[in-house]
Amino acid sequence: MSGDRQGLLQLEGLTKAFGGLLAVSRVSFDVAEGEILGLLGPNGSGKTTLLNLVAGALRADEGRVRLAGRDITCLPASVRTRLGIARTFQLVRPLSKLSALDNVLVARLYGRDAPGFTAARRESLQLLDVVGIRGKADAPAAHLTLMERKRVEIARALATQPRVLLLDEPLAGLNPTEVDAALNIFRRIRDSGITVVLVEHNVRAVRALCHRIIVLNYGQNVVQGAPDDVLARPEVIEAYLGKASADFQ
Amino acid sequence: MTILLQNAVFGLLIGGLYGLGAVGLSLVFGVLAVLNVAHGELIMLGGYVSVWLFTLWRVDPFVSVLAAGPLLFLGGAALFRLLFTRLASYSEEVRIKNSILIGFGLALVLQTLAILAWGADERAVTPSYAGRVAAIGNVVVPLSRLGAMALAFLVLGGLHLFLTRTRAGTALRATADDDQAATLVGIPIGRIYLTAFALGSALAGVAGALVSVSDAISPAIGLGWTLKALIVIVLGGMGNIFGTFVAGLFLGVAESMSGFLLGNAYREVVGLVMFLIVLSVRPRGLFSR
Repeated sequence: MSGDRQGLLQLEGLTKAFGGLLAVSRVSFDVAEGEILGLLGPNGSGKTTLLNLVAGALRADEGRVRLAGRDITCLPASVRTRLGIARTFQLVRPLSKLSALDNVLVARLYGRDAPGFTAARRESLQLLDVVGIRGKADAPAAHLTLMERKRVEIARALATQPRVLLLDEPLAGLNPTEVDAALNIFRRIRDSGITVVLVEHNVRAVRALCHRIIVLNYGQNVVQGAPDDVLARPEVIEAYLGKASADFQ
Repeated sequence: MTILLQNAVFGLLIGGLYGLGAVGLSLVFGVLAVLNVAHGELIMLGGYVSVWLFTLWRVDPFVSVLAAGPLLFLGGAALFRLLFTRLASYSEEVRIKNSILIGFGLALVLQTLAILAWGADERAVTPSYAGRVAAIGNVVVPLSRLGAMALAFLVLGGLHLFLTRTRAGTALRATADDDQAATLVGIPIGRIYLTAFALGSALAGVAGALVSVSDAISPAIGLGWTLKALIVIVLGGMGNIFGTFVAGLFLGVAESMSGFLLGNAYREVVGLVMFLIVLSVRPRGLFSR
């Protein structure tokens, strides 16, 4: 898929080491506009580091990141957000004293094509509706449950009007009912045309949502392709089993 | 009874200024984790703006507020760029420690500059209505202090609206909550830091001009105001505007009552004792949930 279309997000030989540990090593791939790309790999395979390099939380040692052809490798995170890269965290990190609405609102006000205050407030309420917690709009984020905070975080990421949304294990810690609810939200996001890079251990979710999967191991991309093909490959099962075999259903 | 009530009224009126004086410091500390112990000196400078406008052109001190606020806003922005910008890249703990050192240095410099420029004498503003009072029953209310209190309340209401109903205000609250998370939603926190410090300084300027309405201004008043502000912030809880204002009123009343009941020597002591008790029993402030 990456060959025949100009990638919206292009990673080229990305490398990042922490001390002597090579967390990400010469990773290259393109993500096409509107694509949902799943990133799989055992713990420690460099998935989160890769997201950090794309979002700007970490600076790459080598390699380039491009968004719509523009080199963003050296831009700070806040600028990348305004250019259209949003992310959620494995460990949710809302602004805990602010209300759910304010969390989304502040993201909308400082995102791409930010409208005036009143319009931003209205749109933020709509986003809370999309993720299904409009009723908790005025509750401080610290008082919300884990699932509710994840919903706020997704709404907050969407509020920046991203072109690319990076989701870091959004389903971790959720029970099966909550996973289904979250999948419904992701389907709505997918159908709205936003490009998504999804890091997730839940294979069922990856299979249900993603157009394409890349498997990382030891910081390198091992294999990529359509979900069903990739998940059937022996080297993937080998890389993956033992760590997260319980997720295979 | 009347005399008790009279003391309470005086306490409330001075307490409004304590509240306003503390809010700027609280805002700066909340957003930047910078404890600007020269905040009282900024209040002193605000007082001098009013004194000079009155001395030169007979400008009413309530009007001078409109000059003291913006002037200190600009001055605060300059001070931040000069002295505090570099701290932003350090951890919170390092920032607090170093900002206290920088603040003490700044306080000494500002105080000395004020003495050089204007002498060490006390200066007062004497508008025509200076001595006028309104009598309610047997209790007298000095009009100038009542006006200062009302204006302080208006300014705090305005600040509340700014923080909750504007883009920059929302970003300020987000940055105060978690500056890393704020960066991630695209907030340029460097600019927010600058805004917060300038705004905190402007609030000090406004407070200083209002102090001049009823009290004399001298280069030495700064430290006293910084201390009051710290007590009020601890009583009211960090980052809670109306909590801070109410704590200011509370401190004002407590001081004037104890001054009356125990003797004037104990005025200041009571505030400090409350400070210690609250710190040890309710370290997040009287009004925290």
